Amino acid sequence: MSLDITEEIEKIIDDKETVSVISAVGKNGNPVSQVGKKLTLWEDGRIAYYEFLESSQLQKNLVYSIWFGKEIIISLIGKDGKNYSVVGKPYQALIAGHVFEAEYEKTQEEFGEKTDLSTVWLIDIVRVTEDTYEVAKEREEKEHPYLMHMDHIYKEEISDE
Amino acid sequence: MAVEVDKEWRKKEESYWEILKKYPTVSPFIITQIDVQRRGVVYTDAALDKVDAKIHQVDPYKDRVAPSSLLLRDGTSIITHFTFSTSKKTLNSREPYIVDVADDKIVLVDDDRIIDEVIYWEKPKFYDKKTSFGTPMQEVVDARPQRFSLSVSKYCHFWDKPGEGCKYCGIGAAGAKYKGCANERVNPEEIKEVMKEILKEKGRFTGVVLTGGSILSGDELCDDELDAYIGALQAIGTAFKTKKFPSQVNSTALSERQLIRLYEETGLTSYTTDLEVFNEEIFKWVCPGKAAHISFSEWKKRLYQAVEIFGKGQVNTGIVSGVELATPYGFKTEEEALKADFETAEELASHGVGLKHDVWNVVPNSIFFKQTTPSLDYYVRLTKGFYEIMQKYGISTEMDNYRKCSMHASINLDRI
Repeated sequence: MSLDITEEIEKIIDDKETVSVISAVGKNGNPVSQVGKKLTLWEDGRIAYYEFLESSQLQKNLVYSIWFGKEIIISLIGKDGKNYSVVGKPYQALIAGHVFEAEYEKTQEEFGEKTDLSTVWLIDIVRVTEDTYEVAKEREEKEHPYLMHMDHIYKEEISDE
Repeated sequence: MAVEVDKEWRKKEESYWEILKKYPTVSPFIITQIDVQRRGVVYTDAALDKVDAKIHQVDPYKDRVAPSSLLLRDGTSIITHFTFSTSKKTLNSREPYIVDVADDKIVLVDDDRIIDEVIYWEKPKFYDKKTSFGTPMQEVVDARPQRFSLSVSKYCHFWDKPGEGCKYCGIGAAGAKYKGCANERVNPEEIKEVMKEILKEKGRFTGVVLTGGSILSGDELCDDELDAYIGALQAIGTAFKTKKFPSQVNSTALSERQLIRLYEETGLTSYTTDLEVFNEEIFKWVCPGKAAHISFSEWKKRLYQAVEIFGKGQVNTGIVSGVELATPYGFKTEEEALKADFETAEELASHGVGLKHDVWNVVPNSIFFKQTTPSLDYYVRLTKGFYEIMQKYGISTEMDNYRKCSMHASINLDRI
């Protein structure tokens, strides 16, 4: 079961104009990132990521993640420029059964009959952070006040007194 | 009945948890699959309460019904309907796993520890329908979560001569009731009727597997078996726009001439013929019927010819892993068995033949019903070894992957 998420995250996931990028590491330790064609939030609080290609590197890395308990990252970039990082853990590779078949048909309705839905990845949300630049900068200033170039705090000139 | 549980068995071999730690790069899901197939499962009443016969594929279980088989969260199937402890509650020297319910979730339990959640297989919609001949469609075509399969012949003619059936096989004796009956072989007209129903279920199937008992008759050995496969494949092929469709035949080792016919006259894309044992002397003892008609070296030659016809990555062969350790004529140690398995596996793979193994489950009605299977450690080493040999020789596993079969642990490893 996932943690509670805000209405704002719910909205950005549901918005079809949101760009989502899913990143996961594989067996060689290398990460791969892929723009997700379809992502939804399910009633149980899990994110469902729809992988269309069985042979994609992301599919392999998601399998690696569920096998060995690795975290993945979903970056959500909203149309207003706001962006969030969702850290998650794959809970289930949904590949069969009446729920999968219903999603398969819905996916084909949305993306065309040639679309072949490989897997609906159900992902537990571990934590969410907002990474919109202004928000992230404010957070950095608050949490890491001494991480900066010093010119930001130089005086304009040094008095001779 | 199989043999009773050895009460000391846990003291004699490494536990599931120890094996997980010992092989940190092997998927825990695959280790679970292997061990459950090795030891079987039983169900608590709470787990049986979660079965819905309208949704799930079921088998009789005492006076109730149990799921035919299980799925793990990663999509790996655990095929348990060959594990007779499910349906007949027989035991084979080790305690089976328990399927129970915890926090309203269906879980796999061993020694009072929860292993993971499991999911019951769902049946396809055609399962409750009948053909115009009155046959329940599920008797014509069987299903796993993502594939359908059919048995072209319910009886294996290696059992015609006493003592010539494969010694681990529990199906051979049971198939005797079909011998000479009208329904011994599948009826292509009934297949066509089932295919019309299959077409209605989008997103369900990724492939079809045809297998069945050996049919030795014909002008050339197994010509009648070949004709049965061609007839069935042509009936299946009526449902597809393309000539070729994702499919596999697992038959007796056919000759080059027969393989060419099978490839050219049907939509078949991949071919399997199981050697069952990767050692000639033990093959002769365990599979005397096979050995009497097609020698070990001829069987291998036919596999190499199949690679020429179907292509590298479209042909494989399997063993019933563990029978090479059966007493009294099998290998004496797991080390010796693995060495022989890997030597033959290398030879086959160097000719482009893929590898797979099915975990031996000692079943009632088999000649080997009193035997004991090897340790989990042996199975994990074999799985890892076959996978690594396939990788070394660049042989694709797609023809038999977790969606199209899922029984073969070494192939299931090839998902990352």
